[in-house]
Amino acid sequence: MAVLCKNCAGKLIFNPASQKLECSTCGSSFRPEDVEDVYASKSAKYYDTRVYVCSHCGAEVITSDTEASTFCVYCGNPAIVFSRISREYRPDGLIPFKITKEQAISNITKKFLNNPIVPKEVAGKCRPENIRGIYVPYWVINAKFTEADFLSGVVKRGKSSETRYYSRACETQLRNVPIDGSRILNDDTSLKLEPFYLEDSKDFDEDYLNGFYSNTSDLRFFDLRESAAKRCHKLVSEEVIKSIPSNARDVKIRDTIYWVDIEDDPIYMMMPVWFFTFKYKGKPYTILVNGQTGKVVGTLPWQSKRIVAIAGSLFIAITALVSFLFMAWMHNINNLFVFAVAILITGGMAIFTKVITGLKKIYRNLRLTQSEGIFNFVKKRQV
Amino acid sequence: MHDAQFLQIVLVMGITLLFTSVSYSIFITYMILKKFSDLGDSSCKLNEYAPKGLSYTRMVDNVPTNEKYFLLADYGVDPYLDKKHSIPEVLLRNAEKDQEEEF
Repeated sequence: MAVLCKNCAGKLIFNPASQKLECSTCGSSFRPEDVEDVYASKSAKYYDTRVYVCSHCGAEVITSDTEASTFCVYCGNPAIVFSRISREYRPDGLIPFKITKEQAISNITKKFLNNPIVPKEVAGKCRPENIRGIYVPYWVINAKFTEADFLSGVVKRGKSSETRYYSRACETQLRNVPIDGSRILNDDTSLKLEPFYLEDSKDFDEDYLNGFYSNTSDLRFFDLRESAAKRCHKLVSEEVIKSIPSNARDVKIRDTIYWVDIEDDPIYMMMPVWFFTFKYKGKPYTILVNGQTGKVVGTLPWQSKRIVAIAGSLFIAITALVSFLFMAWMHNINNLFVFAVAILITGGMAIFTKVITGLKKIYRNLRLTQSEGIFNFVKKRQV
Repeated sequence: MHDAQFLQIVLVMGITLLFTSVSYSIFITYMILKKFSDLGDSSCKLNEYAPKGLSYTRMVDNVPTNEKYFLLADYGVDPYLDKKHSIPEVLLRNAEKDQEEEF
């Protein structure tokens, strides 16, 4: 429950810049740990959140006390009324917001500056009302992890090359691995938000939530173990691939099996994330900013016409350049010419494969950014 | 140079030209997309979470293809199966909630 200023009874809001609770009425500021909240006890298992309902369209809006007087995101009606207090499990700790809303906007805007492919209207949407600060639940785990991999790699033998196979099995002890505790945020997206530095973490205190929204963990232990196993596998497999002799190219994991053992007492934490949501051509987009480090994550929409124009211009320029070279060689075909043709074709094929993989990844990231689920999740947390 | 040979060379050149131009132009376009549209990438490495690194129990190079069956046979059973841990209450309650919703 939000606390009030002891000087004037105004609402206190946490300011990431000063790391203090500030009164918007009289300007007083207090350290969160110095503010006594008569409604909450730090030893309690639960804390209270407020749920508001729009009396016009019936939408449910979860807000903190400080944002109760705003309008409904669904119908624009200002008549949102308090519905109930929802009791939630008290997290063990949190990392307070360090990046202010203005800094988050600035970090996103920097990505639009001198950006030839992002539509101008999208840049114009980066306004304070489209950005929300949300504490996202994470579980910080210690775990034992075992993995066995069967890998392949291509090794050159004289003029030809052959596929070789490798066998690896390893175990490790991992410490303080953050695992996204919410089903709404895709694990791939939350992974990109890392790192979060736990040195800045504080014991959970509701006062830090003032001025922000928060979500609670909806995972089961089974889900946590599955996410943890995938997370650890990603970290470990990158290292396993590095253990293959350097003369092998195109190293791939052909078969893998891995097991995780999450040790007792994983830590339930809240991590600070700024969500920038907007719609472009009817599709929702969510760009995230790590509220501790300022790292911007997501895939921006692009102007298809501009991309086609760029690709077309490049095609014409490269065709002209290579044609010129061919014409110069036309009357003097020698080994150098054959070598150049071979290089161009081999290079082209290698590049083509890389491009296809890369484009698939970009489209997958774009789909994550366009997630309707995350968009609605953020929209419910109306500023 | 015979006409047929000349045509052959022109054909090779044409195909090379087309393939090269398409590949390289798409590649540069992809790099532009990656730089200006796809923001942020996972940057965490294992040593941030496991200071002692990996302890290898098997590390064999140039193995036959049937090695994978031996590997899966040796490591296919959860080594932590018998370990019991306390599960945080919030995770247990979420499981109960899910069950209630299913019914």
